[in-house]
Amino acid sequence: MFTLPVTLPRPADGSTGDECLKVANQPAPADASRLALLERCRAVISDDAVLLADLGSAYDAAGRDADAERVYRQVLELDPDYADVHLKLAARLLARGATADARAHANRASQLLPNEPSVTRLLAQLAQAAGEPTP
Amino acid sequence: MIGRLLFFAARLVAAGIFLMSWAYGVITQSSFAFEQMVKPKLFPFLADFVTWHHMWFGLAYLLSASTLVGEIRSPQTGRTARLAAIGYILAFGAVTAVLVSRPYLASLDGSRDLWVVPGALAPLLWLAAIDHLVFAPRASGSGAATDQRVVLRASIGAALLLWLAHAIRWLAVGRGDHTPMAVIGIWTLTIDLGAALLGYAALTFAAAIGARRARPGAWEHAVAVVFIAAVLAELVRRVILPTLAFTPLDSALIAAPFGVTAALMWSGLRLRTARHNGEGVFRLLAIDVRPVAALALMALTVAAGAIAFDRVEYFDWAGIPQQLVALVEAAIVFGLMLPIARRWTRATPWSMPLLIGPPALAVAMLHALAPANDFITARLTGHAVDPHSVADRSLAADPLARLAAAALVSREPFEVAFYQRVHAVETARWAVAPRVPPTPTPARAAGGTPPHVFILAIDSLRRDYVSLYNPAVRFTPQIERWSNEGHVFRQAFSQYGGTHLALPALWAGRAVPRGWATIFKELNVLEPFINANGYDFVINDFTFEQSLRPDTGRTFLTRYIPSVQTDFCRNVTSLEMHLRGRKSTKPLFVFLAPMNLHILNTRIGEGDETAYAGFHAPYARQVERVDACFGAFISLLKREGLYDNSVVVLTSDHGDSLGEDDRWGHQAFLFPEIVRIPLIVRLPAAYQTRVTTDLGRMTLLTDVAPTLLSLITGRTYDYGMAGGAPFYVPPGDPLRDRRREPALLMSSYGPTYGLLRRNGREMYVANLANLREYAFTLEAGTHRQVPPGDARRRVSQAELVAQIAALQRLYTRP
Repeated sequence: MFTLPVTLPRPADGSTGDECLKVANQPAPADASRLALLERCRAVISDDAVLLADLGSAYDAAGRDADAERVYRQVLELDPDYADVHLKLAARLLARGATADARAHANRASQLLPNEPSVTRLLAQLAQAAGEPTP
Repeated sequence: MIGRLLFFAARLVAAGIFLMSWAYGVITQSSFAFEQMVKPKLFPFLADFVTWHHMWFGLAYLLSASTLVGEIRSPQTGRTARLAAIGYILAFGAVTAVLVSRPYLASLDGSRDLWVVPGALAPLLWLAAIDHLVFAPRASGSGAATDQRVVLRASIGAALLLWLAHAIRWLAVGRGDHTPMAVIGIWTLTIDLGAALLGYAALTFAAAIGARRARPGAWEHAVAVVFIAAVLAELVRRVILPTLAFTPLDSALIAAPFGVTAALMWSGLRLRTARHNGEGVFRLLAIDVRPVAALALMALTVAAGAIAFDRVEYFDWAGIPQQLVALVEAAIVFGLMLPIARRWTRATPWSMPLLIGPPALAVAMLHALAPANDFITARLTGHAVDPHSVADRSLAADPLARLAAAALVSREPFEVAFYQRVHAVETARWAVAPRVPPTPTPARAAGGTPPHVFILAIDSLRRDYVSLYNPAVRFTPQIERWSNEGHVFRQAFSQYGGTHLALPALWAGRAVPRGWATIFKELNVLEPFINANGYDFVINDFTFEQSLRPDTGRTFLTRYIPSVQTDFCRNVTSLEMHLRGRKSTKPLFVFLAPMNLHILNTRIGEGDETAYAGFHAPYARQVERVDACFGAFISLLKREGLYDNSVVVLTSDHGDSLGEDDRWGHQAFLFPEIVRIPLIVRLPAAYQTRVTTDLGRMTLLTDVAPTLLSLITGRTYDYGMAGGAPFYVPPGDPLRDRRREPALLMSSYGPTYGLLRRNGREMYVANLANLREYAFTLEAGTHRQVPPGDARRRVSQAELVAQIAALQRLYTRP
């Protein structure tokens, strides 16, 4: 085949599996059944907020609270406007009694998800935990 | 002397008019280009030219006919030539009479017309034929073959001079580029010099053959005609027409006759001036002046070129005007170099090493360029950089190198199946003549009188020039203050790189194919909503307004101001006049798309560089004006008692490239700065507690219409894949999961498609016009270009094809 004198090759990454690039487009799993896949994919794609949010949810479902919290924080470093993750992290923090931190994330979720009932419920739980009047 | 000058002036003016007619005819061959450029009168001078074309044609006819009088009278003119000249006068006199009585060009409506393109070239070909009939026999053409050293020195001299001039201009302009200057220098010098040496090889090889023939001069003349024709045809076929959505076959059919005509026209004119003094030197390419005058003219040419490069940049056409200027500049400089080289070159025997050596050196240099680029870039930057990106940025520094690269640099092409699948979209029947998809009829407003609706789609407004999205911005205080009462959607995108598709898609609530205009009356969902709810409809738009139903009552603000001059401040003043003059109390539906920020108004212009440090000052100054007028607009609504019951949507149809990697504008390509848009929505108090949203999730321009319909009617309008969905839903209801759904992107002209993934944080672009793929990681306020990589490419291409298939299903006739 005829090629021109200056030939630029296509760069190849080789390491990223198609499966992992597609996994973040699947409906979010709420259970731990896909935990192994998600963990494997995190090792390949470490900067996909949706994939990591799914991993956090899977950790949550598997009862691995510390892992879930760590991964949720990673998600928010990548995507500070990820409202669902703010909400999930706030719930996790509330569960272990870190109410001040939980309130900060719940407030951010409230800004990003105005009038969302789940946020309102969480804010009410936070107020209750702090002995404040329910909003 | 004066007579000769008048002759050439008459011929050039006539040629300019005929070629303008040809260019307009070409545009009409692309219904998409016609809809985008001609219908909205994007270039007012073009609209004026078409309106008065019959008169311009008449002028061109009179001027060209006057240049034939001498030949008809001259006893030296042969019978055939005289008959040809008389025939020209009679034939095109008749054509002129017909055109004056029935103007033709203005009657073209974008349908493919097979007459105008070849028809516009016919007079030029006829004139060229007359010139050849009259003057070719007088030219002996028996001069000696061109000395190869003359061509070699002229080629190298021209390449070095132009490279240096372009480098100096590049440094003087002071582009903010991350690519090391040494890399840019190596790329541009290698390409410029390589092209010059290969050009030398072609000419000197032809001269070598000519030297063995009886009439070397005539041979070289013929070779030069072929050379010019091939260069011009390839320029039109490879560089220009792909950006106007022409297929490869159409491009070839249009480009070849143009190249031949232009070359023969030039050949005829040069035959008239031939002096036949026995010297070869490819007379057709040379500009015969004294060496001192040649040096002065070269300096003038380079200076004029530098000015021209800056002036044509704003045309927003993928760098094509700059490349055309570079071609003209190179042709003139080479033409002037030839007599200089001849003056300082002693005649020497023909040499085989001198025939083979320079092109061999050029090929070696060019082959070494890619590996050398990798090595040098890695050494200078400390890490590997995508060679395609380095090439793009380097070639942007030198328009001549960029032009030559089209023929010298091979981009590894897409997989054939992907390329064919995507490229077919350009001409597929479903895209050009789509069927009307099922469209739910919008209902009346829930609960009686609907709220007022104001949609402000500020043309070309970039997200990062609004302080809500970029804290460094200090010139949008009015929008920032107002946003406290509304919702700022952080991840809003336009799926289109141009107004022509973006605004119809906004009004249809769906991705639209290029042939949207044929079905827009049925596709448009906001118009029936406006009619069903008895809105007082006010509009200022030049994209789709002509495609609305004739019986839809509307007030068109500032109708007689050309599209490109529409100004938001004047829109607000006109709206105020409308409000004061109206008798009814109907709710208002106002749609404004002012062009203050369009690249035609902001590429060049005034702007305090200090006040707008870090921004493109002319654009920032206009943004500040728009912001001030936005403040006046909100004050007007409040003053008139409309604001509390108004939905206000502030967005744009697309963004713009403002010098990123020397890109300007938005039409033929897709980059992050083009698809990222602001989206700020303010709801009436009564609606604010009824809905929820997710401000951090990806939102698309096509979501605006379904959102308004759902919000106001109380029903849910979700147009599915390839369609928009409401970004407000009742509390507790799910929103479309845009964090996982990819979104298809399309450029306005040309076959460039893209895909947004991962909530708009990853962008893949397949530019089928220049066979380039791009991948970007989009972060808050910035983006990084990354290598596409095999897996990302596979997944993105598969998803892109799936998105196109969804669009095809939607618009395919059963």
